[in-house]
Amino acid sequence: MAFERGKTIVNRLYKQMETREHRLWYVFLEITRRCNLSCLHCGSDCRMQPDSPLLTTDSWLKIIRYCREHFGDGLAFIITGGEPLVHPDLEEIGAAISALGMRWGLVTNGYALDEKRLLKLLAAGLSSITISLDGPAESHNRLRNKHDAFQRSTASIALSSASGIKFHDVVTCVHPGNMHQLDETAEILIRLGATNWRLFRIFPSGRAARNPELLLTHGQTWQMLDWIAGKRPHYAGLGLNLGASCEGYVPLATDRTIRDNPFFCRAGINIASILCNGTITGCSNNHHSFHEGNILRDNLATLWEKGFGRFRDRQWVQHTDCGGCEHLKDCRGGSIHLWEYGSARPKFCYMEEIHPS
Amino acid sequence: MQLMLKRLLRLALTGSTTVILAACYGPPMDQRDPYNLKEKHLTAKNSTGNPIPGLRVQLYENQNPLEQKQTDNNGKAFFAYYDTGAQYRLKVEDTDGPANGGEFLSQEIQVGEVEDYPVTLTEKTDGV
Repeated sequence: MAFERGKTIVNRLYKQMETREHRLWYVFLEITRRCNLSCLHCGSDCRMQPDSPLLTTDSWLKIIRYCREHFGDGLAFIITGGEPLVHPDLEEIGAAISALGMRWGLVTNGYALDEKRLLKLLAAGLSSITISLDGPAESHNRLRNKHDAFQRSTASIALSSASGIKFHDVVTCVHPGNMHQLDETAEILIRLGATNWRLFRIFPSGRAARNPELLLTHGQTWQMLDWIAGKRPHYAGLGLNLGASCEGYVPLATDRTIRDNPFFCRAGINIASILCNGTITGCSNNHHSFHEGNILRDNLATLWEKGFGRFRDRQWVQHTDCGGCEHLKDCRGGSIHLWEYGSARPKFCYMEEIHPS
Repeated sequence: MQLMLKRLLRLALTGSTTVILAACYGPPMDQRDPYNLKEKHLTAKNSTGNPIPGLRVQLYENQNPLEQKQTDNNGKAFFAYYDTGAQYRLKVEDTDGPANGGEFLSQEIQVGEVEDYPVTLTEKTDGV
């Protein structure tokens, strides 16, 4: 008991120090909203043809040079979308990051990743990749709305696992329809050579908000966490590091059984995002009420120092329904992406079943 | 001082000083820690002590190529990288034939704590 209390205090202190320092080192670049799939659970509502103007490749290259100049070579860029593999200049953007001594990673559905493309990405310095797999064939194809999505995604997972990329992992969106298939999915991943696997709840935004049957209830969410805690040692023994996503506060004693790093929402503390229309925010899935500015008119370095107050100082959470919660001191409102600023409560809480207003 | 304290706190929390972050759907990345910035200098000479320019020197992190350089006119190549606790090695290769004063056999060097790596390459002979 005293040991856990001590760890909780250490965790609090560590988070305070990180927040005070707020060194930017993980930057999402949403280079496109285009996508080659139209998944039922897409949080961005991406489609084949976007309806808003996008930053040009030249703009992204300028942004990369600016970031190197103002934040140093410790930055890592995470190229996301939409589906970044449909962007014609992805390799050029990646190579520009590498040429300046920085690193970059990719979030992809894997549909367009074949050996030839992977070799091009590696030549451009790709050092980290996350690919989605949402269950066995039928389950994945249904969610991804494409008959051959499973075949292509698994092929890309096998390729990336064998490629020598420093960090590669697979993410699965867990919903009531694939909860019972997690062991089967794990076996598929082990056969493909995957070594890291993260499980997510589906978040009610974008297209997912229109498919409420995909959202796990509070009870089902804890079934998922219990499954992770129970199966982590087993799958670790088979070479698969299984864990929960970074979302959501749970007490530290539980947290240590479900993921490698305890919950800490680093959005606006170590993480910034530049969306395809230039919007600057914390994580790319943060609600628009947490948008801090636009790269087309704001100075990112100044904004990073003087802005992002709501991400770092969570006093505002005390004025919501969370105000009297016993976990508030450690939770601090949990993940920013679970909030609309000004609302009375988050869209989901791991500790208490709530009904959004 | 603050950085050192933060490292200690992390060590107490997770058993490791390395921060590996995978934000939301983003892929995992390790944080570059300024304490772990390493500099390594390689100097390549032939058996008579003359520098060998134009050698290809590849730095590997475990099995993965990290950075490639060429030795300059003084036979020197310089690397700066963030040590993540992996195994590092340098592979020195003569890829331009006799243009740099002879043809030399490749050599691999395990990278440790020291900064300077003097290396003497052996010239290829018939039958080697």
